Amino acid sequence: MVTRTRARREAKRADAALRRGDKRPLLGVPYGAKDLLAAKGAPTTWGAPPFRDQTFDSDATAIRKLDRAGAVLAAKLAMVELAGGGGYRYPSASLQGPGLNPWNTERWSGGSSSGSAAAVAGGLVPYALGSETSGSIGTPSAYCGITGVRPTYGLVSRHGAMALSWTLDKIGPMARTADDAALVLAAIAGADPNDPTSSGKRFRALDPSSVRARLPRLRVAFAEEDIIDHASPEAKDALERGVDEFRRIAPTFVRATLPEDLPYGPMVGTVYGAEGATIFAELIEGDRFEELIDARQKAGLRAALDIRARDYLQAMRLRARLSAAFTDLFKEADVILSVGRAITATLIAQPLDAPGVTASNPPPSKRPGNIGLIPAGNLAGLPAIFFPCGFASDGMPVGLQLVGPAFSEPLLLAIVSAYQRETDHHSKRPGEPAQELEPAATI
Amino acid sequence: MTEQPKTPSRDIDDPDLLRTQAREGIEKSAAELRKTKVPIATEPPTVYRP
Repeated sequence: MVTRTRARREAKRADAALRRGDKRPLLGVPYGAKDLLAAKGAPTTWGAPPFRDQTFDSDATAIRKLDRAGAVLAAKLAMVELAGGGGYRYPSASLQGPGLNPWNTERWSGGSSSGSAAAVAGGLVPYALGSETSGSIGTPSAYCGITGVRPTYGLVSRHGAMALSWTLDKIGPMARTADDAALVLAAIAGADPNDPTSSGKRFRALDPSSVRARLPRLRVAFAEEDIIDHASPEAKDALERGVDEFRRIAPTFVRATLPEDLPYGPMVGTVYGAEGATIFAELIEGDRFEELIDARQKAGLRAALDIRARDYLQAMRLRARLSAAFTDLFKEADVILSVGRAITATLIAQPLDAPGVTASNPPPSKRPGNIGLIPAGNLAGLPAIFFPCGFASDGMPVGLQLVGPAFSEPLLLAIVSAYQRETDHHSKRPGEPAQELEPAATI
Repeated sequence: MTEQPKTPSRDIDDPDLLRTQAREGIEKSAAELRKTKVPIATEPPTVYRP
């Protein structure tokens, strides 16, 4: 939804500031915000029919900070209803309909930040705000070939954002490049008295030359099985080429993997299931619940009301163990490199619980490597950057992810900035003649 | 050779089936979580901060 009146007002204000010589980097630059962020003057639907007419008379802190930076809110962007916390079956689980992928509109743009990724990839806005509980920035960034940042838990205030999981939700920038994402992150990070989980830390980009000098010694944890065992046939070659390119800028690869005995999928599902069902209990038990679109999501939300305290707390205990394991891993490596997603964007009509679509629980016949990095990284509250690394044989973008210790965003963004100076995947646009699409494969 | 009776197919979006699957999913997750032991002798104190 275009926020026409507000955008014009903010653009006029930016014009006046530019005439005065104001040089703030985001001044006058339009952006879109995932529709779970409150914004004055526009509905905030959370992507869900029961909230189609919801409005707020104040801005989410992230939007208020971008307003202070002179940015122009141009659109509220579609999302999966309630950020998909009940476990949805179809991309159509949204008040605004399925997110269409600009690279092939028969494919999904990913979720739950579906519109944020599609709008950036399609060139409608240069950047957008998304949110991630477990994969909702990463998956759409990978499917749409853009650069998305999942900040450390607590770096960006969540005040004014729909809560799905108090202990997992994060707000982050989705942009074309790491450099653009860094500008946005610098604007939205920082303390917020309205968010008690705010860390108070700020983000400051690193000097590129200091990072370039460090790259040869940077220890990159990588597990080859993430691609060999898990990548789809369409994605495999492009992902391998992406890793080879990455190795040219940061050649010191070490083998380090996540613990194999932790059930990442059940852990993250139990945490956001229990927290989300509690947050939405009134809706679930009320008259408007049936208005939600996706039948599987409704079943999931209802069932999650009955998650036992014992199991939620066990998941939280295991989170502590996982955090300790990451601390040990980061003694051997500075960052972890893995696939953004091991598959390309799925077909719009394809059920998302089909085999091979989720990577949270790899089949026991395959080596797990670091394929559980999305749920594991979210459980530990660690930052990640997702960035494009080429195109699969089906013509769809593929990408990698880089995860680091808490509050290592300056390093992660600087590394990907260096990668993007040596490659041009991030500069490709849908519809360019070089992009030859083959018929979509069924999985 | 006798013809095998076909298993009746069920709509994957059938609400009753979905409810059953959702409950089973939660139980399966719970079983996985409980399988993973936490050594209480070395477990740190809880994370509540007043």
